[in-house]
Amino acid sequence: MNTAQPREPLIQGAPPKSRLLRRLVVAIVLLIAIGLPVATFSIAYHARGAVLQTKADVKAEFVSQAIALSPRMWRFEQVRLRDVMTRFPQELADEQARVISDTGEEITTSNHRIAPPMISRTAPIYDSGVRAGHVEVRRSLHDILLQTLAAAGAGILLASGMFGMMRRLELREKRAVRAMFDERERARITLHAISDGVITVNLAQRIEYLNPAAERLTQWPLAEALGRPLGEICTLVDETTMAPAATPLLAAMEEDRVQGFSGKETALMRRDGSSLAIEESAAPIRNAEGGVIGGVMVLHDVSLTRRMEKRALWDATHDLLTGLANRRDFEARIDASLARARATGEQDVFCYLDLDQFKIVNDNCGHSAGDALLKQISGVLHGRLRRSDSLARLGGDEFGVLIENCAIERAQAIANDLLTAVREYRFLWDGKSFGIGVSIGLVAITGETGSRADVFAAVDAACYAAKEQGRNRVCVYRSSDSDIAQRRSEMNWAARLTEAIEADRLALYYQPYQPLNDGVAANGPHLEVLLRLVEADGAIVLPGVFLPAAERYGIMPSIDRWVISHVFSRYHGLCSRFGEGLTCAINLSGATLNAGGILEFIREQAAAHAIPPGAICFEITETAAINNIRAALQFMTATKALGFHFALDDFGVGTSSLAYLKTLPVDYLKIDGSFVRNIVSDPIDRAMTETINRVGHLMGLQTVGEYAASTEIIAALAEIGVDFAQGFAVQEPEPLPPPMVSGSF
Amino acid sequence: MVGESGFGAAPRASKAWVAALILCLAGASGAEGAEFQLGGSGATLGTMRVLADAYTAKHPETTFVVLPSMGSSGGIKAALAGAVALGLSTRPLKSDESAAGAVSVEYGRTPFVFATAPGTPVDGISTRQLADIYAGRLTEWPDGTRIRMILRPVSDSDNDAIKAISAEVRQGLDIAETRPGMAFAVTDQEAAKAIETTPGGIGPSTLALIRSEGRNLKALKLDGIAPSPDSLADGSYPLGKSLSIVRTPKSPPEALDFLDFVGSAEGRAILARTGHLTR
Repeated sequence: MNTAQPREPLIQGAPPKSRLLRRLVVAIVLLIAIGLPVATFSIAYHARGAVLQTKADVKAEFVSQAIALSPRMWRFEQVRLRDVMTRFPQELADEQARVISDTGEEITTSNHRIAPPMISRTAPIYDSGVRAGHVEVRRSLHDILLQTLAAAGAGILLASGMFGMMRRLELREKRAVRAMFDERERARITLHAISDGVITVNLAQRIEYLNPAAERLTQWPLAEALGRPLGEICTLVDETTMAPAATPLLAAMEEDRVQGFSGKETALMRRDGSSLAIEESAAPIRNAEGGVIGGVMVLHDVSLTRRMEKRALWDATHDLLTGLANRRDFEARIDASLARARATGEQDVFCYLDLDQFKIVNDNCGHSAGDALLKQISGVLHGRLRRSDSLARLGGDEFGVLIENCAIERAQAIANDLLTAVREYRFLWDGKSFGIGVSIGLVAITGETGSRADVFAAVDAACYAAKEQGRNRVCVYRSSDSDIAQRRSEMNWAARLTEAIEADRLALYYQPYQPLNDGVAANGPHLEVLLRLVEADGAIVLPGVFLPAAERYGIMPSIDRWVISHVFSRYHGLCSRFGEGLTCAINLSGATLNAGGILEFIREQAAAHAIPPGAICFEITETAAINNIRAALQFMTATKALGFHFALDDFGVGTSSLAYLKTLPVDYLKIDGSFVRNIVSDPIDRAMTETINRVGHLMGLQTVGEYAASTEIIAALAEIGVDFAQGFAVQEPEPLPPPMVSGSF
Repeated sequence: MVGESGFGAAPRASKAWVAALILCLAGASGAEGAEFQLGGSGATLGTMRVLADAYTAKHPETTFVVLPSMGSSGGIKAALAGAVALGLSTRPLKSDESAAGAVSVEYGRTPFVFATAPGTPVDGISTRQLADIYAGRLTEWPDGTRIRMILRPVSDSDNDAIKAISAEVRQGLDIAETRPGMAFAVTDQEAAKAIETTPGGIGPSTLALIRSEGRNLKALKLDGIAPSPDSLADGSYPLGKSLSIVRTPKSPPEALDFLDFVGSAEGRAILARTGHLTR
């Protein structure tokens, strides 16, 4: 396709009409400058000559008569001759008349004396029919020359004026031509530069111009397209139906007004038969009188835009990893389902799936493995569903299925089918085989169902109930289920917790460690800071009630920060109360470890309150650390560098505990209370406690026995060699002493 | 006169032709019966005719014919050209004329006058009235007759004399020369005749002309002074005209003899009688 347009010459010189006009004006100017004085002189000269000739003729006649009267002495009759010369006819001041004899002798002359230049005319005088001489009448030309000079001046002025006017007109014309050229050049460059296709047609709708972009879009070179009907070069179709679409150019020309983009998804049929998504607009082209002489159509290639729009739309409604619908799209489908249920009474079922053991795969084999697992599971689930069912990925390892027009029993069967499929599926990665489980919650969407949030809360509660009931099972939400009702109460707790934080209605309690050997006793007192929630009515709520809700609804990072800032600010006061070298243990949730910015917060708070090294020990649960082992390791390493200690809480009840213990940089190992609780009566628990204690000591850690509810347990722990005991037998949790006023508690 | 004699003998044409031829030949050779011509200023013509007649009476063999007025310049020019025996002039010679050998001999002075026909009901005018008449401010004589001033050609020496009377008169004359329908008289004789014949006419002339030509004119008093040789001589009358005879190397001896006659007692008597003031 020839996209290079021949560049037109800049200024092609003045047009012939202008040259002719210029020559004409120059001729007129010259004519005025030269012709006016020449004409003035000529006319005046000839007029004067004629007058003088008449005077000479008259005077000659008089003289001839004088000769006739005195043929011998006439030449001496000076008085009479001079009178004739002077008065017949009257001689002017700048005139002189004289009588010359035939021998050239001046017989008489009038009194006036004139200087050249002058004009003279003669007339013969006769003596009885024989020439006797002549009369000469002369007149100065000074006045005529002055008139001529004046005329020349006027002519020059006039000519200069005309010349100036011509030059002004010429300059104006040049400027106009230049401006027109610049305008054309700008338009030409613009038309060449823009990516929009521009097509102009004449009144017969035949092509007059295509810019390079139009050539590219239509695949028609301008040279070939010239003169062809518009419909041959530019055929528009509906992009969806591919049915012929009307060109806006015809309407623009017929209605004599601009036709903007119609908003329809139009496509241009190209010369090779392919189609191209475009947006089209058109406008009439008018002549100077305003009459329509053609039209211009602009084609904007929106194929990329439409692809991006579609892609964006797809991205907005799909999960990029699995290709399934995403949560937003699924929510829209839930909304549609709710509306349909209310309108028609049809019942859909929302099936919520939460994979079990997904984190294990993710953490053991990396994110790539986790991603692969999710993709494969998506395929497994998709293969078990009807086309009309909507499968979506709602979160990390959570899926949703909307089963339309389905009874709850049928949905339950489908859910069990999905459960079985997942359970039977084995994920293979790097030579290892992993079994995956899934907990499924079901909720029916009926005309009586509340909002979308209610639907999600209900199905979440059902799924949670399934997990609570031992995972790998299906649980159908029923509003009377106490467990599910409990879950719903957690949601209330979340709101109450947020409110309590904002109202500063959290309270700090503490429970000390009891050193069980002299070595650890020398390191100073040690206590664990505990959290309580103070209800609006002053009732104290234990963390077991609200922490699950806080963890489930993402409130733990806020709570942990609240605790950190309060303990740090009160640390030195606590030292005064409990003794120098005090170590305060603060619990950190897994969510806080994963949340960004906690390290910076701790650093700022430590600096603000001058916290000495070793004063604070953060306790994290084995599960919290393992769920995001990389983030936990980074955080613990960096925090330890600041002088803080770490304790691994509830050790022994999680998975792979011993394997992780080697990698986590902890200082204390808190043996889970489930072992310590029965240490006196259950030899296995005692052995487990001994093992953990031994392993901890081997790793250089100090150990703590939790749930030391009796002196016997404390004695047993001491006997085993555990370093600290913590529990009701040591001391029940008590409110942390309030901040000192005037330097004391 | 040759011409007059010739035309007067017409019945005897052939004999007369022969006689005329002989006469011409005799004149040309300075023989007896010579006729000489005098020409020039009109103011002198009347007086010259009287003097010529007196001279011819004493010298019958010599006749002086006085030609019609050709003006002073014409007379001098004709004398230098030998066309006339003597020139008659009322102006001094120009240098070129003197260089050509012309010699001017003043034979008298005569009052320059403003004259009217005898029936005009005034005897004199004042200089102011003269200026007013020229300027057109005074247009009627006391009897209601229109005053008609006879002008002389612009180049005539009379105009110079008139303009010399006073500044008012000069202005008046300048105005008069531009007034339409004014009567002009080229020669002194034409002027005298025009004054005589024009109703209410008035114009310049000389006392000598009026008396020598016997003109029917009345010389007016100017500012109460009557023009006369005596009043001119004593200076009470301010306007006078010098009259001269111009001889040239071409002037014949008879002409010089005539010139002597003019200066003789007889000639001076004639001059005094015709209104001249002589030395």
